[in-house]
Amino acid sequence: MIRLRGVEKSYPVGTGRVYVLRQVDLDIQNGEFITIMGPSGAGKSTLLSILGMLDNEYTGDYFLLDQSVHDLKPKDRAALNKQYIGFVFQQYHLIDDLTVAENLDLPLSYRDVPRREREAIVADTLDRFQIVGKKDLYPSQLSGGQQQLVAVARAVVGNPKVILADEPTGSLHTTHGRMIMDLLKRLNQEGTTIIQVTHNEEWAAYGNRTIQLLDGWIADPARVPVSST
Amino acid sequence: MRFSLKNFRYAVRALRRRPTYAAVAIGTIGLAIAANTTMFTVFNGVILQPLPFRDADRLVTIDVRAHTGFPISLSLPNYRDWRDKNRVFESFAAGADWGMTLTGRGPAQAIYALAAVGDPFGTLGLRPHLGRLLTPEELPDHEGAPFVTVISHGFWQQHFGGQTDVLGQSLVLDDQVYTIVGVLPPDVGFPQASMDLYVPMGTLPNLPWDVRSSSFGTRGFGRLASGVSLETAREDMARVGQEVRAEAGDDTALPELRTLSEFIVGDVKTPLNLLMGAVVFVLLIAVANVGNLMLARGEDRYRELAVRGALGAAKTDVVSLLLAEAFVIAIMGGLLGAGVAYLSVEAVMGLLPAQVPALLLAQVKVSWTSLVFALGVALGAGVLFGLVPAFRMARTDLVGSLKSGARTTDQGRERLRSALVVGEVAIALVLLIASGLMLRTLDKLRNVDKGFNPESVLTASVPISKERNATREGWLGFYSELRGEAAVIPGVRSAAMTLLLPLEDRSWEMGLHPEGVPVTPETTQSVLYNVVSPEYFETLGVPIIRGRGFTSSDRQGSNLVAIIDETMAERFWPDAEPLGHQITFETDSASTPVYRTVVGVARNVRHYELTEPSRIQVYVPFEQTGVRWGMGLRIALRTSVPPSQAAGSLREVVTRLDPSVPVSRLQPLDNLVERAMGQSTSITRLLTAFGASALALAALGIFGVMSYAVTRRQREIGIRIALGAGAAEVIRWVTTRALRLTALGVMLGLVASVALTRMLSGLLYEVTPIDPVVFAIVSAGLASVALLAAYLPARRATRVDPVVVLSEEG
Repeated sequence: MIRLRGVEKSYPVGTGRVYVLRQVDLDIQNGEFITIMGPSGAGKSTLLSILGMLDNEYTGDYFLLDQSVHDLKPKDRAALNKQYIGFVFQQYHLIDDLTVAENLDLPLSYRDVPRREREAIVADTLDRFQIVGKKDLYPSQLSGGQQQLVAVARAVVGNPKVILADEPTGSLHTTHGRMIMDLLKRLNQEGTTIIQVTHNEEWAAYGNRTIQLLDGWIADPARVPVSST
Repeated sequence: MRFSLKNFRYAVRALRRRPTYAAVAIGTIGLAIAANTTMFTVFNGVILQPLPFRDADRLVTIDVRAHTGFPISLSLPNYRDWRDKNRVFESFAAGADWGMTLTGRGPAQAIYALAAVGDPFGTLGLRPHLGRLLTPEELPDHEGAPFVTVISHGFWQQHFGGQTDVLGQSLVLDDQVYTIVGVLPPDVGFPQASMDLYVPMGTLPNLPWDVRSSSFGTRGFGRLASGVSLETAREDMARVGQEVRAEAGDDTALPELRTLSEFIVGDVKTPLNLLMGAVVFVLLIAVANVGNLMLARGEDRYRELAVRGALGAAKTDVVSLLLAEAFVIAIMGGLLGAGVAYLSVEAVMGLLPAQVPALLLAQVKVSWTSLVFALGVALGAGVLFGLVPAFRMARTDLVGSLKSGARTTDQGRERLRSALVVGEVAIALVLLIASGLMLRTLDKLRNVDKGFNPESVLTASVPISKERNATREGWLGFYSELRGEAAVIPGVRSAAMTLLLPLEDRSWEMGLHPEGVPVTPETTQSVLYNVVSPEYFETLGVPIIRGRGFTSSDRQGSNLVAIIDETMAERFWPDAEPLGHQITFETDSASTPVYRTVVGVARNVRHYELTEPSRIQVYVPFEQTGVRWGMGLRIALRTSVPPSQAAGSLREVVTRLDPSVPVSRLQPLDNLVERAMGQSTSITRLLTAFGASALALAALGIFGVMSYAVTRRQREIGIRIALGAGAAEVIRWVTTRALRLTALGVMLGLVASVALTRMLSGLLYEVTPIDPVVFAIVSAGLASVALLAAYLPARRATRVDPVVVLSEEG
């Protein structure tokens, strides 16, 4: 489903460059639950941004469902993003001025879904996530767990093939964290590909495969230079 | 770009959730739009709207240029010839402002009439509100017209309570009975909307119907035939003028045409253009300020915009979202502005120069046009203050914002905010310099040597009845008695009678010849002729600088004497003693020049304008007026109490002496001075108000930018404090940044001022448009305000706790 070949990301500093990602080769199959781990600064979030097509300043090849993302025009890339990708963030990133229902409606509105259809999808999603009673509340009126629940609901409302979750439980208590991870697991079981970034071993275990990043390299002992360890 | 209703709904909600931000943004733009809408409403009524006459663009007035080059009024023989010989007018008329006394309806009252000939109502295209208007047959160019009158709507309301049975009723005007035949519609009139009524000139006694060289304030006006341009009409009237001159002599005056609109709007165009420009400047500053606010608000929305981007929002979606908020602010500001304009237009009209004719003021109304203007300006402003921040935000790479809520830094945005503040300072400086120049002008005008002392002087017009005017004894007897009685009113130090008061907009000019110069039209020098009682100089505070003033012995039968002013003494006898010389401006019944001896030289009095050098003024004692008696005089009282306290007693004295004499124009002499400064005063007031608004907005802008800079640089400030910077260093660091922006703004503003203040030059008096004192004081003042505006955020910066800030950053 997802194929990265030789992906590199770097910034110019002085006369040289600082690399955030180095020669990343990665294959992710449809229906996988991938966990990306690594120390701070290893390039985890950058990799997630590239996968989510938020960051397009990289070299190398990125294929999503056999479409070469790296060659796409920005408009086509945005269309691809809307069609296949959903995001969950550590800080929830709900829009403060919108109600729960309106937050769920947002991705659909950017996908030009007709209003009646959007209303039906939002109603279904509220029901599915058991947050119908909170649909008119603002994010500030919800607990952290509830906010992340809404954030996950918002990520799936557009029926994406892939959910990218950047430390989705990072700001939550363990109980709420477990609830969110259970939810992601269920979505995965229903067919959605999940790619999460986490520092937490317990949450990492929810995935069926873990990728370690270290100084921008995928931590394959065969490929990581000795000098960088 | 998609503008969905939802975006506007969200924008309204977002503003409701941030009431302070919303209030500041809407209030700022709303007040600027209010100022613009108010001025536009005035500008529209006075300048843009056609005059309230049918096909007003075909109406012209006929100015008269004497052979001496002076503008004079239209004599009746010239009126007849110009009317009959022209080939360009469809209809022609003339009228003279005529003060009359209304009796028989309570106390005697002074009223203002237009004494008309020809077809004034047809020419102007007026229709009656009631009854009919005067026909050309009723307005002949000779004596013997019927005693009929048309009254204004205001006069009808005031004197007849708007009753419809007014037609056919009588009015006693100057002891003659006139029959009312019609009432004009409201708010129209000529030459002023405040004119009380219209009478045939042919009903007035003793007019110089056949004296080509004599005029009495008559002004001609006409309606051009269809298809005739002003240029063609000018050429034709030039031809007519030359033909008449060929027949009647070289001293015949010539006609000059200008549009009626130019005549009525006249001098007020420049100040109104200026004030309109000033409010546009205020609007630009407000736009910059709201733009700055929106940029700051955009900073707060980074995360939201980034999330929207991650959820699929295109850049156009972000732009339309931000623009929606800008438009909501703009539209609410526009509605607020229109509302404030509706409430304030009356007050601003009160501040306008008195020179703005009532006829035009009557057209000043907040209308749909004003509302459309307000909303149009609001939307334009919304685009200006919304578009730049919106595109700026949409261009930003927002991905970083999603990482742990961190903010991306954008030097470009900070530069934009700084540039906006620099622009605000520059514009504010231009406005403040403009108001500073006008303030200096007012100061110069207040201190100009007027030649008289207006303090503690009460003045009034006291025209006497036809009966008393019939003989010299009746005329002189009444005024002498009145002066004597008024002089003993408690609180009155001296009382004087005079034909003319300075700055009153009333004059009497005569052709003068000094001894030894042949009395011919070519050698005539037109001078102001004033008839005064001996107490005039003391009462008005006009110093006699050579010779003597008049005394009670300057009476009929004694040597004829005159007092001249400094200008005349210098011009006629530059190297000689003027006292004892002879002058003449009168002839006796046998047309022989009557010479008077100069016995004194008085200080120059600014009679027409405070800003104009004095014209020559010659004074004659009112007991030696020769054949020139019979004119209504003014009374002036110098008081030891506030002048208004003597007003009641003066009325009592006049009524006791003759109840048929109306007391009008009862006012302190100071009022005339204030009125003469009226245009400068009102422009200064409005410009100062706009300048103060600009200063406040610019200060707000500086405050906002420096507050933001302090917030953004908390870490840097924390490090500086940790490294030992004290409060003074931190304050200096912040304020220096503010001063740098201000200095740049001031420099730009100074350059712009040099270019723009030239537009003020026609309104300045003894002040150059690049007055270095004003430029320096205003620049320093603005810098001080900027410093103050930066001080508050600077103080906040000193309270940064390095431990807290640095640990947060770590």
